Amino acid sequence: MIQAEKVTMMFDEKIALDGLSCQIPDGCIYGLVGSNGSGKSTFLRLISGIYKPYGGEIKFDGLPVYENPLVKSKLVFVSDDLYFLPQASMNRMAAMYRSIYDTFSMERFRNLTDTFGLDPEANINTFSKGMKRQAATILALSVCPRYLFFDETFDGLDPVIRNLVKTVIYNDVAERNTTVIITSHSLRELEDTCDQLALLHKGGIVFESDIQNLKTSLFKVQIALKDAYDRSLFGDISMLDYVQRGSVANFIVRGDRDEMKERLSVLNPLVLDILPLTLEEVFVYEMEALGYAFKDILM
Amino acid sequence: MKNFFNGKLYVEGLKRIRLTGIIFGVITVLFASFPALAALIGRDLMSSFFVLEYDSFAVPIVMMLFFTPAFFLSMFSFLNKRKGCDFYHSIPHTRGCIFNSFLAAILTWILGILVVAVALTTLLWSFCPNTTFSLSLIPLSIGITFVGCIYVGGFTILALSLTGTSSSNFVVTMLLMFVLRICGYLGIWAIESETRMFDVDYSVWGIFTGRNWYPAAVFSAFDSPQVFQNASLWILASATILACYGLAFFAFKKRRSEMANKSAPGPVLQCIFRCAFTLPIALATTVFLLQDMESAFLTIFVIITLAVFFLYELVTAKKVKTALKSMWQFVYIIVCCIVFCCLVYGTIGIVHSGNYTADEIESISLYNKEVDYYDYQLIGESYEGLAVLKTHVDDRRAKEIIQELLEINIRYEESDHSIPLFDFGIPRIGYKHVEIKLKSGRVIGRRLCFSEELFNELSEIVVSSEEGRAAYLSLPKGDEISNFFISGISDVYLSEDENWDLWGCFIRDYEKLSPEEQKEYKDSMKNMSLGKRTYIGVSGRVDGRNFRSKYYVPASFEETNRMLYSILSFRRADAKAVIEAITYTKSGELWKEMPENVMTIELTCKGKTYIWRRNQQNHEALYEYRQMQELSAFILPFMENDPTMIEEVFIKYDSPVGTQCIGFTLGNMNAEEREKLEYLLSK
Repeated sequence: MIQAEKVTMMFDEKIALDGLSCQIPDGCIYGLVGSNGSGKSTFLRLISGIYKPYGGEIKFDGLPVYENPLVKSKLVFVSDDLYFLPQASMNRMAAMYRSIYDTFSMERFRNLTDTFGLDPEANINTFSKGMKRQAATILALSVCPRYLFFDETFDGLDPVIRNLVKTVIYNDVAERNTTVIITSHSLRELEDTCDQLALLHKGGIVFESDIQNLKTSLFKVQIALKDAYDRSLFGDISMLDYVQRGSVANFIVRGDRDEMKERLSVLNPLVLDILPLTLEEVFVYEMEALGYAFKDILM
Repeated sequence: MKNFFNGKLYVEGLKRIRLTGIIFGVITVLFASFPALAALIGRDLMSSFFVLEYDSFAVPIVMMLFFTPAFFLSMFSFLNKRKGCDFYHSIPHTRGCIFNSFLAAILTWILGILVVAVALTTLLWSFCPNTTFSLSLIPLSIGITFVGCIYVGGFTILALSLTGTSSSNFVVTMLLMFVLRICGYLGIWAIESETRMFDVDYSVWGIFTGRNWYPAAVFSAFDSPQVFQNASLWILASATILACYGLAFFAFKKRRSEMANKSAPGPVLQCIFRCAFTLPIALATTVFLLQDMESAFLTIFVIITLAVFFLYELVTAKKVKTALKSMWQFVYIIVCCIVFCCLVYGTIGIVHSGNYTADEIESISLYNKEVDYYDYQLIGESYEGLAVLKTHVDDRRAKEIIQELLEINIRYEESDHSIPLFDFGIPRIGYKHVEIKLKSGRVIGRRLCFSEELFNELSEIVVSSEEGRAAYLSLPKGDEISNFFISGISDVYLSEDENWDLWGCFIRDYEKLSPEEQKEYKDSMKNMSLGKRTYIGVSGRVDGRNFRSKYYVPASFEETNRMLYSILSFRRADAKAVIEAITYTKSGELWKEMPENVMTIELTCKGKTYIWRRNQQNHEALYEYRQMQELSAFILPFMENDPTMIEEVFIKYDSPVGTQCIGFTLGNMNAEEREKLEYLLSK
């Protein structure tokens, strides 16, 4: 388990992370979403042991990560700005990874390069941006690490490759209980990948939740009644948003879907639709409930 | 240990700079072996005897010293890229381990190239004719150069750890290497220009002297093996190396990824770099100011100083506004210049306040510090000269002379040299170094302007003192000798044992002389031109100073002469054949009769030397004359059947052990040898 406790990070006078705390369980695919400068990359660099936090601590199963080769040998960080040796091929990079990581599997490397269709002999400089990302991902996955951190890695991949990478990651999680942290600007990018999502804003996690829970905890109700009514008609139903136009009302409700349907059916509505929300919509409403304007944070 | 060094990372480091290593290795090896190859190709043209010495490897030494920063830049270039920093800081090794493993890889490459370059060069030289060397030269040359590379690498790695762009890497490396030296040099220059009495102790301040302006200036401390023989230099170099690597290690550990692409880790260091960059030119301007230079010249220098200060910031920050905003920091430069002036005048004040009386002086010596260790001019400084100069005398009159000279020189310096020195009663003959030992235990060095009378009087006191006389008559002792060179009768290389045996014979012969005869012998050497006389050359080091003395072997030194001829006699078989051929032929077709291995014949006849060299292509005679009109003089001794006119014969010939050169100075041969030779020549 990765545990970050009141982590603070500063660059000169600027606070990049401000008392951030979170817990990431083993075998979890954890998504970090936030706007530019929200602290996503800084957080990944901190948990990769690249930075030493100004305050607080980051521990992997109780052990600090900074300058700790034992912990670092279990993690691989794929940065948004990829590093390859000058004029190196993938085979050369694999040789370097093998000298650094004891767990690096050449067999897996060969399998993955075959699967992704990359030429391991070719100079990486001749690769496209997306191919370079594939190359970095293959190298990272070939280490067979316990912790995998991707910093906006999927953003440059085409849908086919992205799905391929995701499949490999799912298999790793399933087979080796790998913990994966993925950051992205785009919530949609992470929606179908992550188990858990956290929204970073101004150096802190403003919202963190299980995705399945998120998706099922909120839903949208569209209801039309014959008689005139207002919001008070729905009494103590917990609403995050309420909009009424004439006889039709739309609102976001937190609670159990079937129970809500049963309760609203009593009012003999002309129309009653209970619709699922996209993850983005869930975030918008949850954030608004917390007092944040979501579009200011993520859009 | 695991956190300190990692074998796999080390191997990875070796691979990482493989291309750099191969390119520089090939260049170094090619250039290093070029002189030896040239000598090997033109072996028939090599008539002189060649002793391989440390500076014979100058090419790999200088090249590798210049290439060293490139190795460091190549290995640690990732520090200038954020993505590179992120990668290496995320791998499962401590930063210290990365630093040490990569550093070890660089040093391995450098050492490897040096070993190959020096070994190959030595091997090639070993095939060259008339070349000799000691095997100990190989580890010595490699060792010294390697230490020099470590020294240079220390500055480079520190600069790399502190800065994050290629330009700042280069500038800060140069600053670390040169600024302190340049400032020190300017300080000494300023003091010396203000008072000629200031005597630089080169054992401490040697690196601040003008010798730093060699092309490989920064490495001057390592340009000769003497660095290992000088404790203060050694300590200074070791401390510098340790400080550089220690600081670099610390900076590397603390460095953050975002330092990449920044010229300095913070505003304080940026200010220090900027000031350090400007300081030498600012101090030079200060020195010019102290020397009352023309105001126009000074104004130009002040403008240049300001421009350099401004441009450094402009180039590194790339913003005019930032550069202008930081101009106020020029005040630090002004403060440094004021401190510099205080130090200069403080030192001058100390020198001028040292007006010691004869009662305060314990002893004095004329120890000459003017020539420092690096200087090859040292060749020629004799053992006797050094021994006498370092003799401390406590003679009352000598002390009074020094007291008098101190007083006059101080008055002269304080008068700002406005009054000619002879107004003080000294017809100046020049400045001499004097070491004064005070009764308080302090030893001070001064340069004093002597009158001819006073200098001769002082010299006479020193030489006529018991210690001075003993020093003059002494010969170099075993532990003071580092090398022998025997010349005159033959340039054949003698083994280490033969050298020592010969020197032992010489000492025994010398000790058989009475003190008066010894003095006569030493005096006779003063103005003697050795030419091709048989002499034993001895070089070495005494009390931190190099000496090189030549002792000719007079006919009266029987044991030495006997030893010389017994060593050389077995090498004469070919020579005798040559002489026979000369005498048989007596014509221009000499080579047809000559043994095929004879390459060159050199004759001295009637005081003139003639070289006769075999033409390799057609085996016909090829004559070379110093003066063509002397042709007849060359042939004459043979034609007239008067071999006694030949004074010396030198023959260069191929032998199973390589090309050898053998010669006879007829005047130095014993009666039996001379008789045999004359018989051969007259046959």
